[in-house]
Amino acid sequence: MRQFLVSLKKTPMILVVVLVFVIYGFSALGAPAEVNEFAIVTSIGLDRLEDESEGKYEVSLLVFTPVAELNFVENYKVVSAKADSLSDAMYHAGLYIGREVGLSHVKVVVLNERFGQGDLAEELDFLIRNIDMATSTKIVMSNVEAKEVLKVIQKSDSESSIKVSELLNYNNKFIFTEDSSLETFFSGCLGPTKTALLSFIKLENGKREENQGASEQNSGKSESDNNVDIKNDGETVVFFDGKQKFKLSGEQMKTINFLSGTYQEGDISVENITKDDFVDATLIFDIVGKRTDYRVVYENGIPVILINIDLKLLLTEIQNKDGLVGKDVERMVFEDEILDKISSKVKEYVFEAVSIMRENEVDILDFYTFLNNLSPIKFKKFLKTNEGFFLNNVIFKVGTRISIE
Amino acid sequence: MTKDKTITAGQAGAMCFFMILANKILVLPSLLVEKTRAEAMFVPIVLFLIEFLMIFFFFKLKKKYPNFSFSEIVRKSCGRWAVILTNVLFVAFFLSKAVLLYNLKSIFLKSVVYHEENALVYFVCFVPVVTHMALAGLRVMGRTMQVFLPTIFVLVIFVVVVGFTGITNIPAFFESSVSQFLTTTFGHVAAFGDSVFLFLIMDKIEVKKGEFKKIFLPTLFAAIFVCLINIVFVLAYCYTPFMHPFAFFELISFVREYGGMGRLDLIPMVGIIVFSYFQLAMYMKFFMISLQNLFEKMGDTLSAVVFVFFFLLLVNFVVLTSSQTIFYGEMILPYFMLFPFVIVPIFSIIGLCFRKKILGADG
Repeated sequence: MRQFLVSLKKTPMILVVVLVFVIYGFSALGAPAEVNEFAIVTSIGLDRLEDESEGKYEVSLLVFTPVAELNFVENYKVVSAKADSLSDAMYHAGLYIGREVGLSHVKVVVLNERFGQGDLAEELDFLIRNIDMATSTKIVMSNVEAKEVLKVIQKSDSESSIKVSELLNYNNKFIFTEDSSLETFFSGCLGPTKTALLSFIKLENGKREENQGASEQNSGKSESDNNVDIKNDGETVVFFDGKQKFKLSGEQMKTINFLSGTYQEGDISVENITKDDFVDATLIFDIVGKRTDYRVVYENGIPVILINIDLKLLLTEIQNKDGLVGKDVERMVFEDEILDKISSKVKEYVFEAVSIMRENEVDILDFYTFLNNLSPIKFKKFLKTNEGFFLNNVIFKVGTRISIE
Repeated sequence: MTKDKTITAGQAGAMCFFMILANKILVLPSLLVEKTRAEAMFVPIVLFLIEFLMIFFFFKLKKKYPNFSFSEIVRKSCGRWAVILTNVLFVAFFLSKAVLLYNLKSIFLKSVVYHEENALVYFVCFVPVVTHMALAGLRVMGRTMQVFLPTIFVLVIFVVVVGFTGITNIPAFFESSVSQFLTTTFGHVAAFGDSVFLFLIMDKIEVKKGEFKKIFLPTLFAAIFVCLINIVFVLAYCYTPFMHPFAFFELISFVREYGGMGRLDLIPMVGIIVFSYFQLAMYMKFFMISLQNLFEKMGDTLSAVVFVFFFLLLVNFVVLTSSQTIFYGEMILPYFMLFPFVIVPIFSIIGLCFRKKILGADG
């Protein structure tokens, strides 16, 4: 014992460690569990209200309340509160649950269309300043009130909020040229092009068949045959400087993606193809490989963007008016005429994408950064000598190389 | 005054590594990006060039006067008043840097981990450990850092590599003006100049022939890591630095959304805490050494108490909040940097010029 005390005297740090353990260890053991203090929010619905008498905003939270139960059913509920600011509304929503609102598990933020009328970047200030919110949280706009969307998510089944985020992840991979998250939205708004994209989902009434699966039975869907479905057709809202500029349809988004170098997936259909085996058929090709190269040359001080698209296609469907074509796709030979038609289609897509950007004066694909980083002096000179939206004066030339597997 | 044991070149190198790396990877990248956007990646490179010029002077002095302390060189070449001035500036320099470091780290811990704790808790956690390290002496500190060095090395590489995978778009370059760039560079010079400690302990570093590389290589690697972290941060978050105030932590925290990967952000957090302890201990030790150079009869314990007293005073009454800390770091501390980047090199040049006077007087 005496030796122990001597060693303690020699190494006073042990005393400090013991002291820290005694003070903080016991207080930590005595503190209530965090799951009992926090309500875990998995989705947030933000509605900008038409009637501002009760407040400017309504915040709805899809909350998962952790309660120990035997049957392992997750309890989700939607709570909402109105106030003049998002932080105030969030605070009031917390009061209704009787727990502190925990935002670190939020995967989706749904907005109603009225947010497009104002400056969205300014209105979402609360979310980006909240240190608990992951900046990768998906953000999406809806054709109905966000609260309704949250109710649909809650009703469909307890895992649906995850499904909605999966839906948006799918958008990110296959529809968007960019992710639709808080990070990318603000990065777009504050970048040189001031352009940001948001995914747009719709709620549509649909009649469901019975016995659709265990998850639906578990969530008690039998109460009504008329169900509301979430529809995602690639529609996208384009924001400029934080404000909604216009909406892109799924088809228009496809053309934008064609121009984008990062987008690698999709399909392409060519109409009125006549061959030995079919007449006026529509051929649908799957894109199995796509490489897009950009080169820039300056002609008389004007940038000329040479786009070379290298496409590898696979014939996946033949829509023939005269019935089934009884020939193996592998044995088909595609003449130059067909390849030319595909090439024209690709060029059509590209020029449609350029005209969308020119008409609306938004640089969705960030050509500004591309041109600026390539030759900053020439580009700055071009901007000085050419007034108006810069893409109107940029020349695009497209070359294609098509191969069918 | 307690006589410190000498340290090897490898130990000095390990200390240099932590000194260079620790206070430039958390808040600095975000502040630089806020002011100069993509050009922020060049600011550390410029400031490191100045820092390496200072290290070059150390190399020259150490080679010429291997057994002399910086105070002796200054005394013999410029007189006693210069020694007092140098040590007063050393004291002020290390204390002010310690205050800045402590505040930034406590703000980080409060924002990210312990939202409801007050500054006293961090003080209780930091000060006893740091005091213990400083009192243990230079050799113990050097050895401990040598042991931790490979782990920290791997940790930093891991964070940088994971950070690179998070880059999706390249930002637009050359958008900020030259004056903006220079103002930002000067405004953040306070994060640099830490390797001036080499001058303070130059007589305690045993450098055998060909061992200078053991000091310079870790220093160079630390500088490369700082530049890499800054570059990755610029490429990942160029337009949204205000959403990512803690660079080293933010580079990896994005992985949490890929469910099931666990809290990988614990890795940089552990690194940041280890860095903070080591660097704060070094600031304290060097403060104590320079104070003892001024008051030769002062012991280790008393000098440690003086440090803790002034440290507590400054932390609580001068730079308590985040905005005060940033103001202190950007507006006041840059003027302190005249010491490592101007005054020390001037004394070094004078010392190099009066070789005969210094060696003759010694002989």
